[in-house]
Amino acid sequence: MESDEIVAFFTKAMDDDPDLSAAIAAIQTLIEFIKLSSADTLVELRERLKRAIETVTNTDSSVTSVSSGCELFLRFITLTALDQTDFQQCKKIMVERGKVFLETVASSRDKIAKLAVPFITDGATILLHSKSRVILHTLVAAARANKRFQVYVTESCPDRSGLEMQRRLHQAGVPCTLILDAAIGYIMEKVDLVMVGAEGVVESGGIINKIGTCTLAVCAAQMNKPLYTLAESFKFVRMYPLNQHDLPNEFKYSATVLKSNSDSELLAAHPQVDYTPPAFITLIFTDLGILTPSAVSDELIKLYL
Amino acid sequence: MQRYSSSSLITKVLCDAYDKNKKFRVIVVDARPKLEGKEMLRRLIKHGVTCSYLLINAVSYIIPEVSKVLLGAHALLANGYVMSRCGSSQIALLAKAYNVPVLVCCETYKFCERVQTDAFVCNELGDPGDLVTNSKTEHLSNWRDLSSLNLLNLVYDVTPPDFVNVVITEVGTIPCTSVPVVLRVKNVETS
Repeated sequence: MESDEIVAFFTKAMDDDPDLSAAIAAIQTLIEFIKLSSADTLVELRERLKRAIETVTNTDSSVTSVSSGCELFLRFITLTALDQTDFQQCKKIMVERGKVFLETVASSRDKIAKLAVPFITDGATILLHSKSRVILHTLVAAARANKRFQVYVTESCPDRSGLEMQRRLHQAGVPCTLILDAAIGYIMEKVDLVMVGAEGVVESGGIINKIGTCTLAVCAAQMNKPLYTLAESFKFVRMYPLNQHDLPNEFKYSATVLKSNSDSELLAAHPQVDYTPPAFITLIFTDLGILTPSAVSDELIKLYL
Repeated sequence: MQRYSSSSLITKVLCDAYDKNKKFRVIVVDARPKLEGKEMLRRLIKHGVTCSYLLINAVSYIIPEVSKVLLGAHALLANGYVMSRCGSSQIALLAKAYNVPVLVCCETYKFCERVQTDAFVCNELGDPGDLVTNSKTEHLSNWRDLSSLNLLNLVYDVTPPDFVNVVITEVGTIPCTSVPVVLRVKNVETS
């Protein structure tokens, strides 16, 4: 499978189902790649898979979750006894394990919704930042469980994705008000809890999310409002940023911006994500359970060692 | 970059970074009575690293210029506290107040199952005579005769995990709170 075919399959998977997480679409692409691969040995297949992963992460989708999802997928499928003599048999086992991985991952949003709904009390006011499909799924589940709650969403410039979130919440029958990004300090006294999604959860327990999350987190911590992060476990990244500067450029800017700008021009471009330190996060809801930020390292050690 | 007192591990880290052509400046902070920082300073300068040297009472002056703080450790306790040379917790506290990341470099064999929240419950006492030697005027020369005077020379102190951003070990970078996780994994491996 050539790189343009990989990109085509990936973009088609994303377009077919807009609710699909970019990481899941990437994993589907990789399973297809393994099936069609003409590699003869495990080492060659692994090398080609790594190059395919690079191709997929070079598209304009969410790089953080795609790269962490692919990394975990690669570990999962190779972490079995692949001592068959027939390589085609090995490939079949890898594809089957890949499908098992995909099934567990696909059900993660339901598990998260089930864990998070009890934290939305009746009559609660929730503040959201930008668009997150996991949060949408959870709030729809809470609405179906006949909970009454009110939602404020930040508009989230530069792409104004908060508007899309408001539209989807209205469709689900949840009362939702759009606020300016600058109005976070103003609205904070009215809300009971803050919920954000994540593009990546790092080893320190902090999160990488749409730009503006760090500001929201600092404001919430100062005014003693809990901040809950909802993220699937494939978003756990083996990275340890100490501050905003430590985020790699590939996460901050989209692929097209990186290709067209040199290093000095990048300073003028605006980053799309920021890093929120673990001190400002109350709890992280994942399909592995409800974790405190310090437990993320524990889970990562279990996943990777 | 600032580092405290002496640690062969940190000297190696800095020398390796220098060999890899990284551009950085080191500030070595030292404290009485041991003045161990001088040995580290000597080794770094011999290697060619640009260094500054100051005593611990001037740290608040220099901290706005510091990008990272590197500390060695004598032990890492099970509740995430770092036991290190006396003075380390002061530096970590100051770094936290100025939003400077604190990195502790520690091998996993130094992880211990003991729990301690302060430096008094269990510590080592150094020679109280060391505190007297440096004075030009002999004010404390008869300190042994004064019954109301006690000289206290503590060797170690404990730094709470809130002041430490990351612990770097040979198995990876972990937050301070993950020490019991590593201990558990190692116990499983050895048993």
